[in-house]
Amino acid sequence: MEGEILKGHLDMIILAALAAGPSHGYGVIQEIRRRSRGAFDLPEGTIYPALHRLEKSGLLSSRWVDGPSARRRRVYALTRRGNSALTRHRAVWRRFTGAVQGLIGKPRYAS
Amino acid sequence: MPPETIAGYLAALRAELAFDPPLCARVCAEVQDHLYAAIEAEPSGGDEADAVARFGSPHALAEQYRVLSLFTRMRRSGVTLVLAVAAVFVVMEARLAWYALTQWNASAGLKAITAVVLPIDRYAFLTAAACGLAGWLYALLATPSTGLSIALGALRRCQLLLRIAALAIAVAVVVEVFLSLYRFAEAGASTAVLLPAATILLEAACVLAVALSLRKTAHRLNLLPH
Repeated sequence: MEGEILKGHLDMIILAALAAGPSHGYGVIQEIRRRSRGAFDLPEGTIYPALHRLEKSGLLSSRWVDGPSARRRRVYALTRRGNSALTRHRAVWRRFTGAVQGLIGKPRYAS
Repeated sequence: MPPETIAGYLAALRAELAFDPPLCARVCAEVQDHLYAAIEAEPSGGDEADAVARFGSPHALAEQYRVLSLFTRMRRSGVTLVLAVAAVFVVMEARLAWYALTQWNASAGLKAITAVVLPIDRYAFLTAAACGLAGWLYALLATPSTGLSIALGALRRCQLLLRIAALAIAVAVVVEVFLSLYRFAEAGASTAVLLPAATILLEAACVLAVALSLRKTAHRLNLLPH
């Protein structure tokens, strides 16, 4: 997948990955890979500034929890505002993909 | 040469994020957990060099955090400015109340000068209050964009508003200092000038705090790639 296209939709992708439930950064990346069937393969570090930015914008909340191997890990969760933002993103995305499909899909000629 | 171990990667990241120590501590802890989790997730035992390579360059990561950190820094400068403007107002009112309480009336000469410079003082103060509030609100409400050029544009607009406010409050304080010194010179050596002189020093300290805060922010902003 083209990196620049992916970056433009990174916020929506992260919010969607967290819709299933709270997760840490590594878990978010795994979820994105799994649900995109490997198509979205970003440099893993890209996700962290985006998570931080979304948290600053009030769309995510985060807290430290004790993880395995005595390591602390930061777990992110959608806030109410994050849920609303994801709903809006989904609606816009459906309209957009529908319109693009109409334009570049196989043309149907009126008989 | 790019780092090939987790320790090397974290050392490089710490050096890159040295501009914001609390952010650095948080990011390094998260990255460390991520890299070890990535290795543990490999069924045959992962390789540190692979995990580090997949994560991306510490420099590129730090550049993204630099923008986020600057928004926080700009908000802090906005708060400093708004508080300084409020403090200057309170201190100025306290000085005028002191003059009224001690019946220290202005001479005819001072009244003539005040009539000329007072509009400058008043409009400068109003400009500082309006631009300071606008700059602070802009920094507070602006969402850090994924694109560097958009984020830089927002930061520069915010910086411009705060700079105008800082210049305006400096002008207002200079006028206040001038009028006060004129009054003190007329009164001669007297203990009555001590309290008004202290208020003037407080106002100057507020302007200095604003200037230092904006200078630090400007320095950090200039370090971003253009």
